[in-house]
Amino acid sequence: MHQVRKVVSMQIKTKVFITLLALMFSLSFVVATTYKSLSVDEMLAKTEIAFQGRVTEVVVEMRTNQQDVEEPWTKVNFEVITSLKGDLAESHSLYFYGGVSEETTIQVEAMPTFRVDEEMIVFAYDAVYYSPLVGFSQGLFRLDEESWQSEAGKWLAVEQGEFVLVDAALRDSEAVVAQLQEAFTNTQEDSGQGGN
Amino acid sequence: MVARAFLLTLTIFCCLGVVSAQEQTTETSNPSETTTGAQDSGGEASAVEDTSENTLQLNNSQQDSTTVVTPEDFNPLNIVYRIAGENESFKADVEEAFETWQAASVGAVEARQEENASVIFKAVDVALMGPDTLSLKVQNYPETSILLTESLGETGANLYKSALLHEVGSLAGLPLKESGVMSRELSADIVPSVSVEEARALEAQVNTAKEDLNRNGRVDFYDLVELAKNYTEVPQNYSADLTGDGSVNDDDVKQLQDLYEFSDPVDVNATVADETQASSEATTSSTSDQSVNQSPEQAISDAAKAIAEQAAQIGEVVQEKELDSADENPTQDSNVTESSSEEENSSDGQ
Repeated sequence: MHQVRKVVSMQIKTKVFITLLALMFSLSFVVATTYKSLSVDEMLAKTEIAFQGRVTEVVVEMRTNQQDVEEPWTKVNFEVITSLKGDLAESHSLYFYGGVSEETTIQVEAMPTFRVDEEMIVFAYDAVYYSPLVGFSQGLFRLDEESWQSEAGKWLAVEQGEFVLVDAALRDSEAVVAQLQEAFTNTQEDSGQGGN
Repeated sequence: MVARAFLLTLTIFCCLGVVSAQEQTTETSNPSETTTGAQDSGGEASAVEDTSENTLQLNNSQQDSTTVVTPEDFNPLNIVYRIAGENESFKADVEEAFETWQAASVGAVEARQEENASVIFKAVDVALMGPDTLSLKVQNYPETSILLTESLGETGANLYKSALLHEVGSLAGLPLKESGVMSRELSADIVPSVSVEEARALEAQVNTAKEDLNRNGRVDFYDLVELAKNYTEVPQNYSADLTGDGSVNDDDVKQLQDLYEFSDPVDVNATVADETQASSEATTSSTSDQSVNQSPEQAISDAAKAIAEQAAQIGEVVQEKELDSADENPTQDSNVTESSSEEENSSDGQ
């Protein structure tokens, strides 16, 4: 009896240990870094560059800051699948502060990370900031479950012609892109008319 | 790597000892309830009465004894920092943020500036921060830099001060919330102040045994997990800096180990079904309560705990079934018993 109990107990121990150990060392520090809370409409209004793209390359480049110190920046290359706003070529690169180089490692709390082949919608500024994304990380939506998911775990969706963030995936990725194209086209036309 | 290997070894050691028992999911009394806070009616924490008369009882259901944590055991969070540059207004703003937390939670935070502190507040130009980023926490070993920009204009003053309060609160180990200054996404209409809830959360950091990092009333495996999450020379969560030396290292592991409680063996007479249901309800309640304010990492951590709890319960159920099976099948049981007896004899012989 003791033998059986020992075996069962050890099996459970092993499973729990492996699970906890994996989780323990995969956890990263996550507190701090703050940014303005933006609605989807606010993000659309601020966006200078928008596209549906796929990550093709993630590399770290060293850049010299104002104090003449070299710092790592992560360069993310995208294949532009659908250009939504801005004059974009077939590929586009965005730079994010931080990264791991041979010389140094800089980790920025809550900074989005990227993997090759990930597909996403990007709302960004056409400028060099620590994060070029609108709303620091709010302007990033990754394709998952045929839907676009924000870094905060919400899903970008269209309801009654309005963009909203919802709690569940609606599997409407193509519809959202089409609606975004229309929305940005209307915005550009409006601004063009205003300019005239 | 050596230090991490040490921690890994300790984790293995501790894990093998603790997971055979059921983890208690019941919460101990809320530490903050033992304090007598005096808050104004506006919901902001203006002051909290001295807690020196209070004691917190940590009821340990696994043991007959009850650990009483006296005020002498309280461990004010000791934050050492410095402010880069000569910007006097920025310096005043950072100090004000610390003072706000200190006023809201008397005795919970001790902060001081030192020239060689590894936590550095830096005022940076808005040019690189961008129009939406309020503060950045940047790890560049061995330093942790907290970057803020003052150049947000009058309309952004509240956001700037709220970001400062957020950064100080996070240094003190407070978790992310969905609203208030401990939210990562700060809304334009935010008021830069510390709420009663936030002040009490900070008090709770010190009103339990300092080794009880997850504040559940016991120093156990889950506290080791919490410590492991902060195991670095530059602590992100000062509550894990048990020795107060400014870093989370092997000394902190040793201190936690000294109070570490190995769980008792599983009580095979316990009613598994009842406990499973109770645990399930507790887990469900906990999940629903926390889901709103959880960060993904918190969720992962909680998931790990839930997995451990469920695994322990599964282990109990299996053992129960084995017991039942053994009762129903005496032949098989006798074989096991014989084998076990032989092993015991062998052990005795050794």
